[in-house]
Amino acid sequence: MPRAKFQTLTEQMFYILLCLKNECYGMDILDKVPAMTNGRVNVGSGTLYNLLEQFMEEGFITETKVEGRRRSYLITKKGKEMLDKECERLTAQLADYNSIFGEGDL
Amino acid sequence: MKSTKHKIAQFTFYDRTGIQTLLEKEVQKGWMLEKISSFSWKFRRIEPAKIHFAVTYFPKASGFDPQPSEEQQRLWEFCEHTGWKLAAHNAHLQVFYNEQESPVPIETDPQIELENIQKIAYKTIIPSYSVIFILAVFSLGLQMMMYIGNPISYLSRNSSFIGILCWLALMAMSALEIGGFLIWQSKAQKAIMTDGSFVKTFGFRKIELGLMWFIIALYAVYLMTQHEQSGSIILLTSVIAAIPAFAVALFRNILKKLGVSAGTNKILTIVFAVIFCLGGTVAAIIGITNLVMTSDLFDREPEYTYEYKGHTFKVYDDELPLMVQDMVETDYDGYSTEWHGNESIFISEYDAYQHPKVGDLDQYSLQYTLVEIKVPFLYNTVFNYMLNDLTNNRGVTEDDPFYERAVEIPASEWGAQKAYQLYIGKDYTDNEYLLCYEDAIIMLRPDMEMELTQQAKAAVAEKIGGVVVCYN
Repeated sequence: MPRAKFQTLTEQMFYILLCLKNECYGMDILDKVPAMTNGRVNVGSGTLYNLLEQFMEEGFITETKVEGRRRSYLITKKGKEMLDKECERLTAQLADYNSIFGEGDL
Repeated sequence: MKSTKHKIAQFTFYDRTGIQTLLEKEVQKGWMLEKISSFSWKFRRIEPAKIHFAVTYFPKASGFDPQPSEEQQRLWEFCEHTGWKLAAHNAHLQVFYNEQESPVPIETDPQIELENIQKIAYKTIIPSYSVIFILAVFSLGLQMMMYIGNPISYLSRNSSFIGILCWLALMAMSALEIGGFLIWQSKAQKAIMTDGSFVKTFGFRKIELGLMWFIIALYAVYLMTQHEQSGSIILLTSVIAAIPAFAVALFRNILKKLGVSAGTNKILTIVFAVIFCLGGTVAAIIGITNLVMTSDLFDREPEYTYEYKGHTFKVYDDELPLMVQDMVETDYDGYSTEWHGNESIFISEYDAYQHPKVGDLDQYSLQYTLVEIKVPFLYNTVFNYMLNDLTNNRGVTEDDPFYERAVEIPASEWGAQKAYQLYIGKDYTDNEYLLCYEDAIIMLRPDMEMELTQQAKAAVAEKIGGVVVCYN
């Protein structure tokens, strides 16, 4: 069964949306995500292209500027809600972990 | 030293792993991919290097695009930003290379990659292969009907065998493509759900290339085994048959170069293909009819001709395995002998005709069909068909006075294993026989007036069956 779309966010989706808190060229996201995560997360160029298309279709982001082929994007209210939902999920996960092992264990 | 080379592009469409591996090997040998066309992949000579390749799919692209769309070029810019340069592209297939030691892959989400491949598969590739598969099944069914209708005529032509092999190969190729994709898709989906990993693709390049060369080799052998004239006609027909495919591809490419949009190009190309194929078929029918009616291409040169009551008659001098002279004493030398037929690796079927000159009514004529069976398991099939063919009861019931029956007669004097004679009605015997030898069956139709003496029967036994029959 295929993964249910946008029920949760993958790490790559999460960081792309995070990058778009401020207006940003699509291409710049390719550098921002590894910088933001100390190289832990990388987004492939093909994957980024497709995710930006899908985020646009879902209304998670909006196109703010078109300069030739260069386009910049910004997260929308719906996208921010999606990001918040994911944050809540991750926070709940972390809380569950802490309740079992305690904060000091991490 | 040549600076470019071409390779036949026979890849399973989703086999990115196979394509990447091949391109990485080629570049290590000093060959860099330069262009992908429908028929071949072009490589240019470079210094041998260790370069990474990535194959990705862009579902919005098509083979009708006059040039890459803005969206596709935007994707290429994204790729270039991470060091991936475009090597070549064709329709939805894009091949990139990267000289960095450990580049970030173009695709880092297997689900998105799978979705792109699925879009292409279900939109274009699977429907195309399904059509080929259905056509192959239909054609094999047609071949089966031709076999049932007349197994001797069917089996005596190598073209039947080659036709079956070609359709089987096409059926196997389309089944491999569709089945292989469905299996890979299922595995890829499972891996994504389990650990989010990419699953290597598997292709059937070697099998498909092998099948293709096998068919080409068979076709070449077939052409070489034909008579010079037939071979040329078959080759010419094959070339003419291939023209529509090239013409349609050329038409599409011209429209692309003229900058016609993908949608318009697609419609115009379909219209052109239909008109060209219909027009080509009509032209071919008219051309062949004219050729048959006006030229002497299919006529054989006779040995000589003679006139009788204002008409010209041709006399041929083909060698026959059994002749009137073998069966009866005669010094008549005005016979025309003809030997026509077909031969395959399974059986040979030849019709023999021996006729005296028109007007020489006191001379005997002889006709027969000789079938040699080279593959023993086909013997019964041939026998049953010929036994049935000996009689002709179409529209005649068993109580009709002209009902024909094949009655078994003593075979020993013919030196045969089995012998049958044609009976018409209850008592009337016709001078038509079916004689079965070890690896040959003959349907013998001597002149109605010819008395078949023991000498005549022994001659048939010796000449056709290779059996010596003693008689007094």
